[in-house]
Amino acid sequence: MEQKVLKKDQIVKLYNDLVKDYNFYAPIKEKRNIIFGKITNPEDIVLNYYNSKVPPKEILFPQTDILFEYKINGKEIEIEEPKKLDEKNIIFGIRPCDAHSFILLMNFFSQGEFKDEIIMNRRENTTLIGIGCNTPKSTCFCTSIEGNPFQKEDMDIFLVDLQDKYLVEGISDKGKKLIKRLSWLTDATNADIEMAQELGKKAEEAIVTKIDLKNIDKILDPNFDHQIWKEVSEICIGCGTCSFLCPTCTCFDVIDENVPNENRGRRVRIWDTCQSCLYTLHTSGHNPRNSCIERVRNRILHKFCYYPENYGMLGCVGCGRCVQLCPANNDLRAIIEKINKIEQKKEEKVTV
Amino acid sequence: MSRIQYPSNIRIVRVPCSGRVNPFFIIKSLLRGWDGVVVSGCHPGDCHYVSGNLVARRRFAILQDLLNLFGIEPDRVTFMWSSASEGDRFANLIKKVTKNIKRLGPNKKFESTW
Amino acid sequence: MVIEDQNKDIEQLIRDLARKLLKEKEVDVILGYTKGTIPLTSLPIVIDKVEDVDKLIWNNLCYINLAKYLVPRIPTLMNEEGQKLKVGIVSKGCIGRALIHLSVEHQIDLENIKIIGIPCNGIINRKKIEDEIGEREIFEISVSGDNIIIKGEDLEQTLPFNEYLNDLCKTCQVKSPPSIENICVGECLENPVIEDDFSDMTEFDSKTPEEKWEYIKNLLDTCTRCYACREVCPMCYCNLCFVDQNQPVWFGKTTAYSDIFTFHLIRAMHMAGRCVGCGACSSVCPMGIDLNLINRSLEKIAKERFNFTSGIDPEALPPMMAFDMEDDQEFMMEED
Repeated sequence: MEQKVLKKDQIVKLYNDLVKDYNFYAPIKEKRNIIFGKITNPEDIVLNYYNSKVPPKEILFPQTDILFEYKINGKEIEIEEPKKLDEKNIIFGIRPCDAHSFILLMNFFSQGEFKDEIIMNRRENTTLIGIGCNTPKSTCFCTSIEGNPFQKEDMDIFLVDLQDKYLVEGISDKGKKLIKRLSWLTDATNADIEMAQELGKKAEEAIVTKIDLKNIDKILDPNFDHQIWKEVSEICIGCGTCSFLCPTCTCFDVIDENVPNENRGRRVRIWDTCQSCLYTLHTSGHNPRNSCIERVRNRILHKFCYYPENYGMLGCVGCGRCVQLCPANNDLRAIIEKINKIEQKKEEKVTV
Repeated sequence: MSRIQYPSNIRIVRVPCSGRVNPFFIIKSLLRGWDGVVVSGCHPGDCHYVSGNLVARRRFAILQDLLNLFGIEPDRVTFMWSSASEGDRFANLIKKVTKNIKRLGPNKKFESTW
Repeated sequence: MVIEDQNKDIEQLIRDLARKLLKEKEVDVILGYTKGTIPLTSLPIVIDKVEDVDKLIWNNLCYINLAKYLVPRIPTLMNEEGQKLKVGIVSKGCIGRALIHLSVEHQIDLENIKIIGIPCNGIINRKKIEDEIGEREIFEISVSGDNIIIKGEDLEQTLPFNEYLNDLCKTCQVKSPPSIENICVGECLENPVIEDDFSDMTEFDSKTPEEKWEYIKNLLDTCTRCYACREVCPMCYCNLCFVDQNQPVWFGKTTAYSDIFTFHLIRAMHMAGRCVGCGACSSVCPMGIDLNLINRSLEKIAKERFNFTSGIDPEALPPMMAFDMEDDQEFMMEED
């Protein structure tokens, strides 16, 4: 039998079994936010949550990531590579949209001429144990991006919440191996499997936000200079919330920090955002993206036009974080709707 | 001046006027692990640049209140007036500052800072 | 009068004045609020047609300070020839204060602006409500009597309105914008007098430095440095913010507490005597950091040291733009 059952009170046992070999990450409540944190006490795990505020990309791609440290000793320079790259991680309780975001992240970090060894290493050593969303939020729109709240392809092990227990299904080889190790899991009954399918259907129906993204890249491409950009950026205040808390945004900045009187220093990678005024600033002082108009346009075009061009899939996972958290309520769904209307208007003109 | 002795554990950074002291200078020193910072300027009315120290005084007042708010001990950062002819006063004040900071102990709040 | 009736009256006032101003061509556009796309928000809107006036609303979630959109760095309110539009701006007290203060700092020209004064009845603290509701989704929020009513899936909760206000709104004494001749329409305050004993600060002030350090550290250390607080603040209009300066780099950009500490301390320093107490920074923080304590003490510092309240008098210079031989210097070290 492929599918197993994990009772909810067995999560502590699962944790104790795995924590010896893995860093166990799971959603916890830190102050007022749900975030993915390293668990030290299995009682802290919060599983009745919609989604974390800070996406789990933070585990692969931390906001502050030390690339190396150095020490100068006379004529010798000592370089200390980052430690802990070989440690194995488990991300428990990740949502399908965030699991999908890992595919998008890895497209960026592991393809092309320059590969990011550090992040590739981390991804290699990370096992995803995800949970389907029984009750998606009204701002979720994963079904519009060819995903669904029970999408399991991007995970290693997929869980379905059946009220007092979880249905456990190994998806990848990595996941199947791990399930074999957890020999104490009991087999699932047919009733459990049917219930899970039922819940999946229900969840998909529960997603009310539908946005049309079928032709979005074709509409966006020729409309770079359309006046719509002024319209949709009118109320943007230019903070970085949407990109910092986006599970698919990958931009970073590399800075060197040093302590001159102690002859030591380090190189750090930090998150950067295309909404910041420094992002495209040239040394000459010229800034090709000088105002919110260009910056908002870049964000939308990157996700829905450039990304599909480069990797053949949309650069958005439909988690709805940017919709929920935008300070000025500049709703992505409304922006997409307006963009779709550009083409409709054109067609109307042609028919006239 | 007059071979007046004052504690040797201070380092002098010369600036043209107390008005040149950006609050960054003070905070950066604390971040770098210095145990205390003293800003010493000319007495009000004696400014070579007419009003530099008066402007600085308002800035320091607010900085002192804010450091207090953020939980830095008030004695870590000291402001004082002492003119070029007041060697005695300068020495006495530095002695007092050193005593205060010794009482507070080392500045460990920003230990992990780069 | 109960809160929902006040809201209706304010909404009517806004729409009537906006319609009049647009019809008589006194302004080119109206800057106001409309209904947000999700609960617990409101959406800023720019209106240039009389037909659209009914989109304007007022509720207790209009937390963005609209004065931000007039600051020069944001070029949206220009016509095609690049000239500034004449703007009518829906103003609660703190927006009016922000406008006056910006004009004192020569950032905006009040001649180009019509202040549509409204008597604000307080802004609800979104973070407190989210904390109370926890991990349940809110579908609808409304005000009835003295209560906030929250509806969601399997959820109907009534919370007392006064307790869930922004802390800054609880102590606010400038509910309507201070009146300026020929600029203000609607309900404005004539010569507001501010008397504040800052009794809400006594508890914090009596803490030891160590306790304060721990408290502030606990408050700030989830900061992700997205700078939403800076971008939403009408007083933050620098072309290049001190955190973005990289020649030289003054302090780090990481999320280490020392860097977060420096950002918030220096930002507070720049806000002293300028913060208008709108609370927008706390409302927009995605991580739910409540900067009210810092803002409140800035107000206290300006009031107690320099007897100044920002954004009240269009003629008075803020403390950091002036100096006085007779300033207090009790904090200066003296010989024993």
